[in-house]
Amino acid sequence: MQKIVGVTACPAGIAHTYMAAESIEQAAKKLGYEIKMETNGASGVENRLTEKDIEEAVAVIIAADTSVEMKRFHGKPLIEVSVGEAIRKADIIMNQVKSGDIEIYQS
Amino acid sequence: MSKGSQIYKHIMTGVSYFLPFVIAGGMLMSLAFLIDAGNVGTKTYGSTIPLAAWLLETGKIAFSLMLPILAGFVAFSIADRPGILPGIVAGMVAQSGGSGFIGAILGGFVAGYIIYLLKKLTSNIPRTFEATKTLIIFPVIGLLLTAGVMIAVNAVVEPLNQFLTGALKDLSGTSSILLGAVIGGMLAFDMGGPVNKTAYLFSVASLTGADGSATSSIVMAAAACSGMTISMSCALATTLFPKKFNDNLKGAGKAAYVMGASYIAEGAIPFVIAKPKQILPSIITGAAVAGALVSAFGVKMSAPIGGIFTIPLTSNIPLYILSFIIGTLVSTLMIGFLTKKEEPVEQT
Repeated sequence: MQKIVGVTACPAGIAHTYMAAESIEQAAKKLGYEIKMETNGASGVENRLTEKDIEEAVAVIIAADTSVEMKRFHGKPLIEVSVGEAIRKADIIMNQVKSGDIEIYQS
Repeated sequence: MSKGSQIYKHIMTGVSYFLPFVIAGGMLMSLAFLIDAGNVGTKTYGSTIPLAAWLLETGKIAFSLMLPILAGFVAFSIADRPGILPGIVAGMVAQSGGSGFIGAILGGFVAGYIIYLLKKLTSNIPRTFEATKTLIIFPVIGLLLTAGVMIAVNAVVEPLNQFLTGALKDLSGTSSILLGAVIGGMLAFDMGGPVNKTAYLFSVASLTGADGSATSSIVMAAAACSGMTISMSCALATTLFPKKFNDNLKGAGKAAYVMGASYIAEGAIPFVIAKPKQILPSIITGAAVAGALVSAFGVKMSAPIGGIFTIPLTSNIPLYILSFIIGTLVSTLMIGFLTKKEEPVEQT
């Protein structure tokens, strides 16, 4: 199974962060991907992505309205969206992942 | 990513770190005044009883760190770790120089970009000088440059800030009601998104006087009250009009009761996603009505957050609750009126 990783973060870090993560998780599972989402919420980083996670991933999805530690994703195909887009349009984002039309991230 | 969304991200990173300071500080100070309610009107109001005095002092310290933390983490977002020091100092400078929120945010950007620039300029320095970079160039030179620019920032922003705080204070009658309505509508507009955060930040800023001291404000009361109506009205709609919502949304409605009571607008999101054309106008109208009513009644609030726990901290509890109930009912009834009966086949 191909793996996708991602990070979500919103200013308050109470609700949006987790809703975006859930929305992406569901959309990814629908298309048969393995998915791991890191959440940067008010209580800190949860479900932190390991180097191995990032290494294995075929795509990275960043859904954040605040700054996220980005250097670790150098050289990976990466999609960057706002938290709102992730909540509303997770399916569209996943279809983009599937189509393979993603830019490689240069830190 | 566009420049605009970069700048938004930097500000929001600062906001995400400064929110706990505002909330904790504001709540402790409000509690102090609540405990000391028997001494209203005396000179020592808020600190007559020792427990109140202690709460007030602790709250003030947390609150006074708000602008430095905001600026510090805007700079952190731009320039990473080395940005924190000049950012925090820039926030302090903005605070003591009377340029408030605007000054602090600008200060964060000044500090962040100065360090960013220094990083670029020194990127070719040999590895052996690495220590010089992190121990001298970034902190010392960075701070000197930042502080220098802050003189200019304060000179420009301080009068502007004085003017704005003054204008907000003098706002009364129709313009105050209008402002309350706009704040309420903005909070509901994107439920926790950029527009919502802008309105909330503006309300929190209204809690600081021109000299940086804490005060209570009508704008904050309007924001606190209208913010509760957003999730609450969606929840109430699922109870009053059960036939118009599928089981998913009915479940979301139960959660929305709790979120509404805790001042979390996000509870409305599942509803807006399912029926944007019906729900969005309803919650915006309801929140605007609540905001307008609070302003019309002149209710003030000293805590920087809404929700049922801060209801006792408003200057007029019955009128505040009345505004909340009317606002919620307006949007609940609008939702009931606008949405059609849920077709059972729509369940997938």
